[in-house]
Amino acid sequence: MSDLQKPSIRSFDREQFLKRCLGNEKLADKLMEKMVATLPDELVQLTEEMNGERLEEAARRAHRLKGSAANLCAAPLSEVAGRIEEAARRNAPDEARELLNSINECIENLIGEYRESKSI
Amino acid sequence: MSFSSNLTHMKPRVLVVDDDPFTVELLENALWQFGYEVETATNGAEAIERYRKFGPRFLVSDVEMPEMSGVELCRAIRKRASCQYTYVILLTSHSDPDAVDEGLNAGADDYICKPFRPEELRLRLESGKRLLQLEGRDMMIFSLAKLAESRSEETGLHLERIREYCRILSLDLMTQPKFEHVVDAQFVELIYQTSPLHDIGKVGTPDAILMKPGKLTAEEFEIMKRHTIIGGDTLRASVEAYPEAKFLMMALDIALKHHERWDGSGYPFGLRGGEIPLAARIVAVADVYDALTSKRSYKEAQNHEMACDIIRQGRGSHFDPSLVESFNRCELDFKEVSERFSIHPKSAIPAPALLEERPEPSLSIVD
Repeated sequence: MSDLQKPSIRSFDREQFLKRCLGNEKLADKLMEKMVATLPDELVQLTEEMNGERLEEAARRAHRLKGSAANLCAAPLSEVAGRIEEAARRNAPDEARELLNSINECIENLIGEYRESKSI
Repeated sequence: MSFSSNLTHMKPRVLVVDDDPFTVELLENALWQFGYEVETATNGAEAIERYRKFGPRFLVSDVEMPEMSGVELCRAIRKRASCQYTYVILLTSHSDPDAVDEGLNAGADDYICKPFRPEELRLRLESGKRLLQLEGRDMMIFSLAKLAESRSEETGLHLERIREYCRILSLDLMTQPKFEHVVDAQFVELIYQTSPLHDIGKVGTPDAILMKPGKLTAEEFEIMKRHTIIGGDTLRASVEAYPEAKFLMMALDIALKHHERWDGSGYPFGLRGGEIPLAARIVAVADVYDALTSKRSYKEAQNHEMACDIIRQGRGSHFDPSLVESFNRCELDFKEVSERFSIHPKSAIPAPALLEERPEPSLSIVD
């Protein structure tokens, strides 16, 4: 059984994601691995952009992260990334920075739950 | 064997543009599984370059991208002079309805909300294919108009009868279990539109042969046979430009292969049985019936009953047995069409036009 066929976990919907991959388990595994591998660096970059008041870059990164997470059926991460994007576009850096903890939590949950699902 | 066979497998091209690599890979996978040829780009500038080299029929682009947005990309593509239309689908966010309006205003044809659903993507592209097919059809109508311009009234009536005969046979085949998954309403419509192009290649046959009042020599007949190849070559260029247009592929099959015979004795390839496309097999019956029942400068028209006998004699040799059975069921409809479209001043028709379907030395329709 593929890793992605194991029981669903909260941070991402594996069943829906497999549907989006049209059953291509190899692709699903590859993209999830890639996502999990790049998320920590994305968070670092996002934090630096916000601390440096580079809100346009932060908004763009958050937008892309929102889309990637949505495509990989990681709804909580996508939702928080969307809120950061929106705050950054409104030029509300404090509000956006307050959400960094939330997005960090989403990323940790996603990585942790994905790793856990692979070890089952 | 058939030079059109490779074209049947030509895939419509799609250019995917998104700065998110995950979306790009997911779209690429879905499109590939749906039977498309895919190229990708991650920004607008790269997309323009790929567009120029790849020549996609479809563009699926994200709206929000750095440097050049999807809307700007769409606008840039619409400004380019191109002989073929590109169907543009934008990927938009639920939360940004303004982007939809802006995209459609810039010339996009459709949009999909992100994250995309594969089935929706497939259906949107199918919708786009229908539009692109109409474009191909317009082009073919133009070709037909050009052909008509160089031909006489006799040809026009011949073409009217041919397409009616083809429709009669196709409608009958629709009721037969053997063909129910092949012949549908769209097939009937397509053969009605494309069958008049069966002899388009005769435009390239030298006057001395096309208009010769007597029998052709063997050498002349070889040249005459080339009208199938010439017609095929002409239509092949259109098929290459519009591989998604079934209309053009059917026209090509008909022009190239309507002189093939069920037993393999026809031309230009000597195809046999099911190797001959169904549309070409149908036109073969229609064309021969029409030649038999039409007056030519070198022969009188045969009556309906005689023509029926000859069609039946050709069962399994010249014609697909299933089509002869279909013909038997519809022969009275053939007769009605033959009579309905025979009212024309024959004496006023220039002699060359009457020679369109003369008996041929080795492959005479009336052996």
